[in-house]
Amino acid sequence: MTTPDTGRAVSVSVSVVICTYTEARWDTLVAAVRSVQLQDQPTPEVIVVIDHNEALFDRVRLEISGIKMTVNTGRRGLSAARNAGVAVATGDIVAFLDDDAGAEDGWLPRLVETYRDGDVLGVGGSVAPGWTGTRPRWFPPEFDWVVGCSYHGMPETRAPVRNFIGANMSFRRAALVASGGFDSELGPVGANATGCDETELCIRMVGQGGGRLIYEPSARVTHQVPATRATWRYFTRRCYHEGRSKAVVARLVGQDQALASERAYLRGVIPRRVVQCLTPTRRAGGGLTMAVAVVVGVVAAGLGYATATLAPRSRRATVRPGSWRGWLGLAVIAALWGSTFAWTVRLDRMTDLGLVSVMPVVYWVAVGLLTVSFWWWVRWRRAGPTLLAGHVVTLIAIMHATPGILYGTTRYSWSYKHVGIVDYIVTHHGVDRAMPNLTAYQDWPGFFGLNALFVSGSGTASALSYTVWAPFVNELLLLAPLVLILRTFTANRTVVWTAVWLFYLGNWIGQDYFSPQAFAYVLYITAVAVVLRWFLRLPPAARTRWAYGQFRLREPAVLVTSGGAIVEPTARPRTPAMYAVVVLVATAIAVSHQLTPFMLVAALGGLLVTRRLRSWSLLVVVTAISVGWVLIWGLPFLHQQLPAVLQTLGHPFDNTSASFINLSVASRDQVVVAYFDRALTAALCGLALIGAWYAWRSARWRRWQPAACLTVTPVLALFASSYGTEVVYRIFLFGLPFVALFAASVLAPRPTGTRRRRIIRWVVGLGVVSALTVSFFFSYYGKERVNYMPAAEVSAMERLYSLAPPGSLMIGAIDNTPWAFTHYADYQYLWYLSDTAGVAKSVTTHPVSALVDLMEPYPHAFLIFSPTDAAQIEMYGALAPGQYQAIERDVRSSPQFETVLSQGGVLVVTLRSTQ
Amino acid sequence: MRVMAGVRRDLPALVAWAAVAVVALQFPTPVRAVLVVAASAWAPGAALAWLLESADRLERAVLTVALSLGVATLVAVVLSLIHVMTGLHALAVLAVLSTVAVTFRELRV
Repeated sequence: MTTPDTGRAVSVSVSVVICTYTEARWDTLVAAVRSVQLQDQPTPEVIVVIDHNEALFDRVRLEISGIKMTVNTGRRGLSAARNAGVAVATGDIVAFLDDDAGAEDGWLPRLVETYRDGDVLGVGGSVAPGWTGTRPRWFPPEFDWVVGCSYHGMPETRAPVRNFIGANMSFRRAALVASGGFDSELGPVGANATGCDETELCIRMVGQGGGRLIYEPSARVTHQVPATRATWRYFTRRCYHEGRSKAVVARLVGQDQALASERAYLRGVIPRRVVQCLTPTRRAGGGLTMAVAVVVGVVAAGLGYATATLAPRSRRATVRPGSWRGWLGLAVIAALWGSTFAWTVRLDRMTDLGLVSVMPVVYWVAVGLLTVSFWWWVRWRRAGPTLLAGHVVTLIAIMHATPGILYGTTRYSWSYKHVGIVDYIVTHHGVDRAMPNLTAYQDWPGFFGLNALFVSGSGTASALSYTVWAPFVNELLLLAPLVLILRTFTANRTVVWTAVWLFYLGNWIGQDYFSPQAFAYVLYITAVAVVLRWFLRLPPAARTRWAYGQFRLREPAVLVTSGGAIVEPTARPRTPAMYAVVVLVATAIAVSHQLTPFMLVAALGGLLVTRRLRSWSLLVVVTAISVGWVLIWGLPFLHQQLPAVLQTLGHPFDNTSASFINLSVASRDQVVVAYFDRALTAALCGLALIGAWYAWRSARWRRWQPAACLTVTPVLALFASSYGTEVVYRIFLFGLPFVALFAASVLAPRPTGTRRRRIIRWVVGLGVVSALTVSFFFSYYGKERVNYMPAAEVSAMERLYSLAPPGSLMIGAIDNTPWAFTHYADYQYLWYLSDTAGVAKSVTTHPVSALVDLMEPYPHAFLIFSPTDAAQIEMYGALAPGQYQAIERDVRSSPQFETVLSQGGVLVVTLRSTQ
Repeated sequence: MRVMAGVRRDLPALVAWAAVAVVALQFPTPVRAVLVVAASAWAPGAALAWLLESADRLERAVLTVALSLGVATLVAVVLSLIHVMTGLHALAVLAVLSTVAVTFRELRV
């Protein structure tokens, strides 16, 4: 290019960033873009940054051609938006123009020409006010900075300055990037009156790297000043906030630098204007009203400065106040929860209501306070994601770490079997698919192999050393992918975090223990998150929202507009890599669990059938992997299970009813627990249905339809199998993230209406969430009498394994006692109540003779009576009340048995030797 | 600065090999546990992270862990099926894979 003054060539490229946040400035935005595009040389790259406004994104894409678009994915506000523009800029120089400003002819060449001096870091130009009405007579020219313009007192020729006016400034891109860009804690948000982000940046840039900032008044832009800014109210408010902003900058860069220019301005320019105004012979000075305006402006700015200095609330002058209060409250709640463990919790007094019956009051106080605190910060104060995530992590700890800490042992008898498989792989360096017991685990060894890696690698004796933390860790691992899924559907933080909260309240079914299904579920949620974010196709009408969403997710994506014709980001996502991620994760799921891979296949199939999946081959590949693994490795297990599968295939109602406990034989407390878990599930599903109805009736449906689809696809499992009487719970679990999303949309509507109405809504929402919380604790903790494995019982079983010779038979009523966690392959097992109906009946009618008949064929057989077996039998009514204890009494008094072990309530007997 | 950048780039492979070393040398369990978890739940994914286009930090973190656990699971399964599954073997394979991934990244750059 050539400069107009010198005609000498300066070969630099320029990007002009225009940030915009509201459609109210549409006309001035179009004019601003046009004024830049008319700059003849150099031809600039025009970048429009949309600051958190979907509708505006849509309109710009469709109506403004020949620009690059991107969106501010960071904190809402001008600073972060400017940084987003810099991130996609390619020019050597990055210039900034406000969306309500217009560049005059020669603006860009004059800015660029100044960069001939290599020492120049940035160049700013002058900003003339473009009053939409007439300029108020009282408005002092020295205060034109109030309306974002150059003011009397600034240099009238090219000169070094401390900082620029944000409406017209430029920097070397390299220096700007090296400085770290604008501080997003500062700067205006929307129409609020804070500022000084450019001042702080200018001071910081020069401080960091040296160099100079040059003011070039001949590079002019005109800044629109609407009538709303030509008022006393705006004038005073803006001066006050400028004072506050200066205080913030002073804290950041030091008083000397932050106020150097202001001191000179106050000592020279301001008194001069006051004198001019009050001199009768110089009426052009503005008169008394202008003098008053000068004084009011100075006082307001001074007040703002003093307020922010004396009571600093945060770096941003008008930031959401009080987030530190949120953290303080959270710390108090965590401390209350921690104090629970200082109390003596009598686990031995646990009733059939489980932990609910023994937890101290302080624990429930912590739960109550956490609920109120979360609801306050998410619905009323709309806190940032970090504080909300802190609440969720605390909730997970309170819900899922408490039992483990109290017990000191791993919960759930099934966990011990899973530990046994890991132990087998560690001992034998591989799996044995011919094993008679727990065959499925040998055929789907993914989760167990991974844990064998942890155990063998870390040198710990057994996976039992860490499985106590499994529920907490598994639930925690779900958090991030869950947030990713929810953010795909909505940018509304309140809805996202309310949905997260509801997900954890709804996840009562206890599939989070040390198990392949818990591991596979984490992977499933991750795979679904990737699919939703990278492989979703939306109808054309929703494509803008999709594009906007994608932009928000993938900074720095760029969209080149051409009257709406091009809607794909130019930096196209490299979906092959994401394709590989989904395939890899799907493979890990396929080798780890039987049901989950087919849930993923159903999810992909559902999306494909509803024409939302962009890649049909992904479904084919994932299906091939899932089916392939079953055919290659799982066939013996499938063959074994085939009769049961065929029996339940196509019987959704039978499979549903098989999932519910029989309330007529369950204990009274368990009936209460069952009512709570059913009510919790029904309430969430009911809320979700209302949410889906609202969504269906609104434009949101296009975006949310995949969520509805993924809520429904797990139901397909109902037609396939009862899955060991658990199918309904598994379906609920797989649909839960989306159920929570729809339910949250009902509980967290946009904050409209009067304050009274908002308060009522807040209170009603809190009531609903509290009721769900109460239901969760009854549902989840209500089965702890069965899930709790007392240390004495675990230790008794360890002793039994050390006494029993390999090849022995272990026989018990049911398999709820901790078993198989060590050397499981060396023993045989028989559970007489779970065996054939004939065996169960003969043991219950003639216990001694039937048990002798079962044990006699084995050289060594050990009959186990345990408190956890007794608890499960009692709670679910597998035997008549007292019948299990009667069998134990008969055996104990029979001369045909001798006691091997009696410890921690566990009784182990063997057949008395006849020799 | 260049050295630090190199270390940061190669960190996944370095962590994986450090895990191999502490397991082979029978370091105490706490040291081994930390490095084994890092080598199996972070390193492979971090080594492959350059392939991912996502600029979303949360998404990158999730994918790093998911990729790592996925790769570690598959390695453990293959070794289990051929009856050579030990912590040392699995970690060595993960270390090799992480090194290859990091090297490919350098070649690409």
